[in-house]
Amino acid sequence: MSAWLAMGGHGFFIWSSYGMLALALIVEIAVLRRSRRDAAERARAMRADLNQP
Amino acid sequence: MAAINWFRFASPASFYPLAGKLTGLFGWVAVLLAIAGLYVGFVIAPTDAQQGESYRIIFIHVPAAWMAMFIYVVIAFWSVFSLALNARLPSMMAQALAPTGALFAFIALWTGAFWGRPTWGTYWVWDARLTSTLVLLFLYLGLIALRSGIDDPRRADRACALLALVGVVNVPIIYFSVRWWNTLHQGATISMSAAPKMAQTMLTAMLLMTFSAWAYAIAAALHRVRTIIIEREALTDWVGRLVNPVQRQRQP
Amino acid sequence: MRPSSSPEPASALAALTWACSRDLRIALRHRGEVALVLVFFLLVGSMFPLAMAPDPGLLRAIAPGIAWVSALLATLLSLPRLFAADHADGTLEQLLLAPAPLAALLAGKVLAHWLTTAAPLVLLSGLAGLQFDLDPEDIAILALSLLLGTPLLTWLGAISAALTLGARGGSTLLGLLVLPLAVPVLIFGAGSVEAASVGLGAEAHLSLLAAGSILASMVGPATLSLAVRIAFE
Repeated sequence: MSAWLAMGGHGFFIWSSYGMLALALIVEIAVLRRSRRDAAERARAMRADLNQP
Repeated sequence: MAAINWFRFASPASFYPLAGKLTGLFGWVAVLLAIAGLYVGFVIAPTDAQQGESYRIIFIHVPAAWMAMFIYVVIAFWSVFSLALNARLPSMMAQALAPTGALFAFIALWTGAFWGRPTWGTYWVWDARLTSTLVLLFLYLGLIALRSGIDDPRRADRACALLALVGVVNVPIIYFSVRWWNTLHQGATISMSAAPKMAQTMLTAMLLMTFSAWAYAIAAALHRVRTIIIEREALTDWVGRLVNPVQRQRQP
Repeated sequence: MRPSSSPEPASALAALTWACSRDLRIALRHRGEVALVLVFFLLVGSMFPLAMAPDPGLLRAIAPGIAWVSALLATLLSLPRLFAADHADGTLEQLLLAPAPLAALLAGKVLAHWLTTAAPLVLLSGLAGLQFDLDPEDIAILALSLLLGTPLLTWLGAISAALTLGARGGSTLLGLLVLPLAVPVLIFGAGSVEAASVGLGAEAHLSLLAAGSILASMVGPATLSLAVRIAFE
């Protein structure tokens, strides 16, 4: 297993690449979900301010 | 297929639920294709004679680079509709795609650097494709910055649409000029296009990953466009029902 | 009989001439502003030798690149001048409503801008070349490349300036938009001098620059009109 992880000595480069991709995807998806919630919140607040149900 | 009136979905209100269903679908397609691609790429594909294991980075580097380029073209496509039809939804799609395109460009650069180091000795090689991708990343950032710099949404829509069209015309020019510059200064020794002579399994893995990236991009953009729709249509009735689901109709 | 309440629409050439001469007159009144850009050009160029060991061979090698980047930055800094004053006092809006082809009016403004910014740069490039000890032939190619490439740069800059009218982010946003688009001009502009200095001949580079500038001058006016209209919605 650790031999596979080492990837013939290139493990650092391979896992840095795939790791950054994983990080980027996690961040993007988290930001997507958060901004959707925030947008709904803001819409609710805006509508409440204007007394629209 | 022809019987479906596509223009029915041209309003944000009717597009919203469709986008929701498609997000989930494309998300799962992306996951399945990625699993298949990574399996072929890591378990089935052999070690490369020259590059060892590090070549396996191309399974994400090449799809990311292609998608970065492809998404920009799609943004330009939506920009044409945005300007020609003066419609909101195409602009919203363009707006939704830009961050994902920028992300792919960044990933292409990062993975390119980490592939370059073990293969050619340096993290950055100023090769034509990588340098063009860097310029492409700046073009994306320009689109995003212009969008956030203009307050009026419709003005921002049209300004970004025009910028995207000016950009898309320039992208091939930038690519060819950078390639010219690169071959003049470096000769053909270092070229990231010279991927290892690809075994069939390597190609299969790369194709699977590319389609996975494509499906992911669609899913992410559709998710993002739903947020954009909520923001921009906040005062409409249907968004009201969406964000305040427990409103009961008051009986007179 | 139709009562004519509005003046005769002007011809494209008349509009262009009018706009160009107007902007030239204004620029003459604000000579300092124009000179500032040129001083900046020389200043930026001087920064590079100061930032490294002023080895003559090295400087000669990087001179075309530095001259071109300095020209690019100087042009960038001068771009807000194209629309800022007219936008602030409402003239730009009047131009939109004027009975003259907007594309021609804007082309006149761009021409005046090029005459007062880029054309002097072409002349000053000789000075920059001397700073870096370039051969006279190379200096000539540098000046020619700037002459042929700056129209394209000016059009790219003008369109970007129109798109960023009233946007937050100012000159920095403008820079972020213009510089990536200017990469091909930079490559062929600086590359022309380099090609000439190693004996490969600069015709290919210069022809490409010329073609780009001609193309830009053909599609520029209409694109710029659209950009300005967008800014005023």
